[in-house]
Amino acid sequence: MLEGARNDYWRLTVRENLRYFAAIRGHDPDSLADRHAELLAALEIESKADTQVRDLSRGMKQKVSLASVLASDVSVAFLDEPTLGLDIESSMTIRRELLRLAAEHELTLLVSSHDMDVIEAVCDRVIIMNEGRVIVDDTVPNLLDGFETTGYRISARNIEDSLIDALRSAFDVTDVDRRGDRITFEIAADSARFYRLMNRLQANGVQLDGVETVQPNLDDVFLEVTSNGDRESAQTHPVDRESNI
Amino acid sequence: MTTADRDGGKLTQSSAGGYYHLMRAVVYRDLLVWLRYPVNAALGLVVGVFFFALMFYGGQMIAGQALTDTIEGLIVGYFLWTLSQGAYMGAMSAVQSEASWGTLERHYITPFGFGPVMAAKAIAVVFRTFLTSSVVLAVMMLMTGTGLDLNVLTIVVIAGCGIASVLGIGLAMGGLGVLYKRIGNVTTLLQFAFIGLISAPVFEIPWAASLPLAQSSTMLQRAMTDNVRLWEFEPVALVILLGTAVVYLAVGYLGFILTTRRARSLGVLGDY
Repeated sequence: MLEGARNDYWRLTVRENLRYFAAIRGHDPDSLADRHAELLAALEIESKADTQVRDLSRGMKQKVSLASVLASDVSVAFLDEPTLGLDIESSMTIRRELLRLAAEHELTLLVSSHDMDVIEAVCDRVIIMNEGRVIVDDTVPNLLDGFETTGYRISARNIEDSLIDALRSAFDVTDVDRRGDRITFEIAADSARFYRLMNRLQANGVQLDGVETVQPNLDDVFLEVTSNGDRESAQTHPVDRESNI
Repeated sequence: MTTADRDGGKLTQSSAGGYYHLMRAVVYRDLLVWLRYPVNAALGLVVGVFFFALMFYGGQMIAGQALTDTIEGLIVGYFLWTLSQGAYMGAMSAVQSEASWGTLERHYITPFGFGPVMAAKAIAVVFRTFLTSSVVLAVMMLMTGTGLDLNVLTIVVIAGCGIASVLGIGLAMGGLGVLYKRIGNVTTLLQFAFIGLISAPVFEIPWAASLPLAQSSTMLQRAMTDNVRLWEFEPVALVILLGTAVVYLAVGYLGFILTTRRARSLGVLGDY
């Protein structure tokens, strides 16, 4: 499936597209009518089954592309940017259905995307390429676990600059932002260090406004590994980089 | 988009289809897409009839009886021209349209193979062209009050061979269009060349029979006006007819495969 709502016949209806692509993949379309109905229902476009694709929204066109790819009995499907340009609701539907279809139909999906959220939500295994070379090939949990320790974002009041300086020397404090008497900063820490920080703040009479956990995501992983790759290759190949997951 | 069939290419027994389902789907799609551009479809027929009417009534005013004496030849020639036009333009625009729609790529991965599916599409174009040209032919015969000897088998085989050679050119030009994008000057010129090929003097210049359409046109004239059946032609004539059809179609198809392969490797298949 290609990005940009291409690769279907816009002058055919949704159902006609599914039947055509099933036939050129070596199936009798009549025998797959139930499967097609199920697919359209799962992707929430069954009411548009007899509408020409050109009359559908971009999100629906994208769903038709996915449905027509899966219209025949396939075991592997390549999807290029399956959620590109979609509204949030359509994007969530496609993510959900990709997961469901992969599980229920024992389908292998190869998703190519620059949207790390999609990759993180849908994929088990991630391959990152840089300048035509595979630089990462691992599972999503492994990549996230191995990337960085958990961090915290803390918002508080009544913190003197001297205390911030003291915290900097004792902890890995980053992204300090002061607005009036309110200050936010991030700290990379495990549980033990986090408790020590809390004790210190309490001892200094700091009023906490909020504490959030900052988890590394695939965006961070991607930027980290591709920037490392760039640093390594910049000396020998100072060219544009193209990276995909 | 690419997909792979289950079980290493084997299709599940319950839903397995074959060439019949492929052909049916391809022909149906071709007709549907043609009908869903209704203005284009209607104009194609109207203009086809209109130009013939111009020639017929205009010719009568200028040439009078001389035109009436040769009207059968004119009808047959025009019929073959509309057929070849339709097949040439249809094959060429099918390739170029599908490339720009992003649907051509999807035909690379089918259990039938890219070639057979594209051949099926070419056959669908020819089938549709036969339908539309037959309508124009019927109107021409009504308009002129001319009766022709219409042995369907003979006409379909001879015209089919002529169209096959043009189809080869159409496929090759379609492939060139996908690779080089703008080749409108050449494609337009070729349309006019068909008129010359249809009226090529095969009897006076025997080698002209080796050109596309020429032999088919000559034989179709004899079949439709002199009531010559397919099996009544000289074997040499049939060999030339079949030979030109096969050679031009094969060369054109090869050109199409090479140009689209090149376009794929350059990554310009869907560009415009």
